[in-house]
Amino acid sequence: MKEYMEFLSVVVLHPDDSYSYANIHPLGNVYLETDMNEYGLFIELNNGVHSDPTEHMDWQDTSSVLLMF
Amino acid sequence: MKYPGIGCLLLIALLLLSSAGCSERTGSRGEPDQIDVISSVDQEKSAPLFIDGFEGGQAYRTSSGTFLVLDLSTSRTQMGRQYGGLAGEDLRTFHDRIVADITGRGVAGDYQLATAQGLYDGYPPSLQELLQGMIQISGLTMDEVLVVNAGMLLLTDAILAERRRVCLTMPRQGAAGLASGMDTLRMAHLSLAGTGISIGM
Repeated sequence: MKEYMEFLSVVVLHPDDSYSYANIHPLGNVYLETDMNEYGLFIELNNGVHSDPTEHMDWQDTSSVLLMF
Repeated sequence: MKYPGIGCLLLIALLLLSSAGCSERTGSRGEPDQIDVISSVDQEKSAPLFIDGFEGGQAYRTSSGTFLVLDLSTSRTQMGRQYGGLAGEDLRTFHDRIVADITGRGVAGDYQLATAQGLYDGYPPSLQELLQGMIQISGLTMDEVLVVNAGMLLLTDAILAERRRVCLTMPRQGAAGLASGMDTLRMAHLSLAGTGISIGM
């Protein structure tokens, strides 16, 4: 992933119909993971889907793996 | 191997150490070196450098060179056009590199596009309009814009799938390697029998 950090960008959007916000993301990624709006509201997505056995039936959540030993 | 999951856990620990923990430097007494935070912050606080303007949007680069900064305004579609007009070349470079990477990891182009289209279909109109504006002017096709938007997710999936395959196979390889090593040691032990040399078995 590190090699793509040269594309990391701060895109500040001032929509004419809603709050302004800044999206910190690799270029061209318009969905929100790390963002802050004009009022300072900050959101960060930490994606744990790869440890979710309801998404990946043959995968296991981290705590279950730890209890395997 | 009695505890086959240990190989996987050790691999994960090694990956974490190599990517994060090892980056912390320590002094001769073990305490962390003081990081020059002040000068880093000062550098970032300097005014970003103006690069270009397009249809009311502006592009900057932070003085440290770390971030491209786009300042966009008005309608969603217009902001998408500004985005594409200001960053089209970088988008092309990013798209071509990450698609080659994802494809090289065994993810078929059809799957990439289907995933990207699925993401787009689930977006609210505001994000769809932003992407549509980008498509108008960036020089990338709609498929390419959608795939680059999903690129990091696709790459994450591909890398995690690879690591999972490694975790599943490593314990077996480790057990086989251990057995092979034990055989070698036994043979060495037999060949040294009677010589008075011990290898500790």
